[in-house]
Amino acid sequence: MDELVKTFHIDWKLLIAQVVNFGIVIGVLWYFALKPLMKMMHKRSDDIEKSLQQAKEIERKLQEAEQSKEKLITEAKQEAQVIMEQTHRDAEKVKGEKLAETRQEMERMAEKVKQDIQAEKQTMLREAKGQVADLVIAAAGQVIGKNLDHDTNKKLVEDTIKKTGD
Amino acid sequence: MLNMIHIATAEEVPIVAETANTELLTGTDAEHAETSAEVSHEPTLYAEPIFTVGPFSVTNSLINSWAVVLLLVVFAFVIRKKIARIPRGIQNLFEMVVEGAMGMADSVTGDRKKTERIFPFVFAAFLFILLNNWLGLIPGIGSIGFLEQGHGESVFIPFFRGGTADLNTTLALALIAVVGSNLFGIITVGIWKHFNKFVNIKVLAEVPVKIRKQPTLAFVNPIKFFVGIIEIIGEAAKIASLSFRLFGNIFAGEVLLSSMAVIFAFVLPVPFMFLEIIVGVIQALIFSMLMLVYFTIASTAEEH
Repeated sequence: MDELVKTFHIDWKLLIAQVVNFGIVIGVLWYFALKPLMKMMHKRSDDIEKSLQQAKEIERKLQEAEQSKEKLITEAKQEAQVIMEQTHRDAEKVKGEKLAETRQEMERMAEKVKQDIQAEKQTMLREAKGQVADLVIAAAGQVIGKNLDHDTNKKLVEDTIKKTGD
Repeated sequence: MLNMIHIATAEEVPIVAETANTELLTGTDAEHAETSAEVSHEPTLYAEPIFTVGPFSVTNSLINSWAVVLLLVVFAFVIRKKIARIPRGIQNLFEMVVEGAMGMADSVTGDRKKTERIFPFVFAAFLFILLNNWLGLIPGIGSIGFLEQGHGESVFIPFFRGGTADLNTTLALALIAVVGSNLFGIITVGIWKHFNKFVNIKVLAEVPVKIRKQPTLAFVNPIKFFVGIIEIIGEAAKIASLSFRLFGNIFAGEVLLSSMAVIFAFVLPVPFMFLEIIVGVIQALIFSMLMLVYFTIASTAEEH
């Protein structure tokens, strides 16, 4: 051992100096380079992982939104269809009702007009009959003179009118 | 004593020394001019002291180690300043290196959390050793120095010497690795469990309790105890192997380079230079990998 120390000039002071040197290297390298670097690297990989996850999440949400949109559109379409049909039916119904009403009204009016005309005709006929009888009597009296008495005359005229009038 | 600045290159041993002397000599140094013709240029096994601060003598390899420490501190501060969420330039490169090294460490520890705890030590050791190895290769280190008189001949002493080409440095590193791994073991598995890895009292205490059910324990457990004792020697062997492997490789590299330069100074040392660069990486890698393995082993509770 003594020989070894003498041959290689081993000196505990130098040993300690070298230990201190290496200690400084470890300390400085660790504190100023490796520690912050590792922290940074960890943080970066964490960030990357997080953002990847977020991207996945966003994609999922987008898909969901797409699906719900699709669903909403189909629903709306169906609803619109239903409403349209309903409206159509309603309109049809209203149209039918109105038509029927109008027809009835018209019929009623036509009836009324017919009746009125009938009544008018009747009165006119009656009036005309009376006037005609009087006129005929007068005319006949003038033509025939006093050949016949008034009563028989009248009777004759009336019979004639009846015959022609019917 | 510091006589003069001396530039030691290949083949120059007597000639350049003379010319350098004649050029640089001042009056009082004239007497040394003749003797320095036989300057000894052999790379020594040990690092030479350059100057002393009180009782503490600063060696040339210690100066190199300080240079490495300074480099790494500056590097660490630069990294600290540049760190941003979106990596750019030097941070990118450093992150790549760290990420790769951590992947490699994961394959040894098998657990990212454990890796993150051990990694700072191991990575610092890797950078420290790598830079020390490489800094010893820069031209001028090991070849610029001064002459010292002693025992009737001049000895060339370089101002700088690769930090890891000195057993003091490698021994310090090995001590840190082994002591650190044991401390790490104590912290992670607890002092009692860790102590029992070496002095296995638990196993001995088991014998009278369980011997009725398992009579073989009477033979097995003393062997286990003895294995634990051997582990203590193993720890010492770890220190020796770690320190001498690193020192041997780097010192041998320097000897190889200087002898190649003596044979022929131009072009010839270049392939060996590349070889030494690779050796520097490999040795740093081996040291830090072994350190990682020791830390990992120490942090796992022993299976029975």
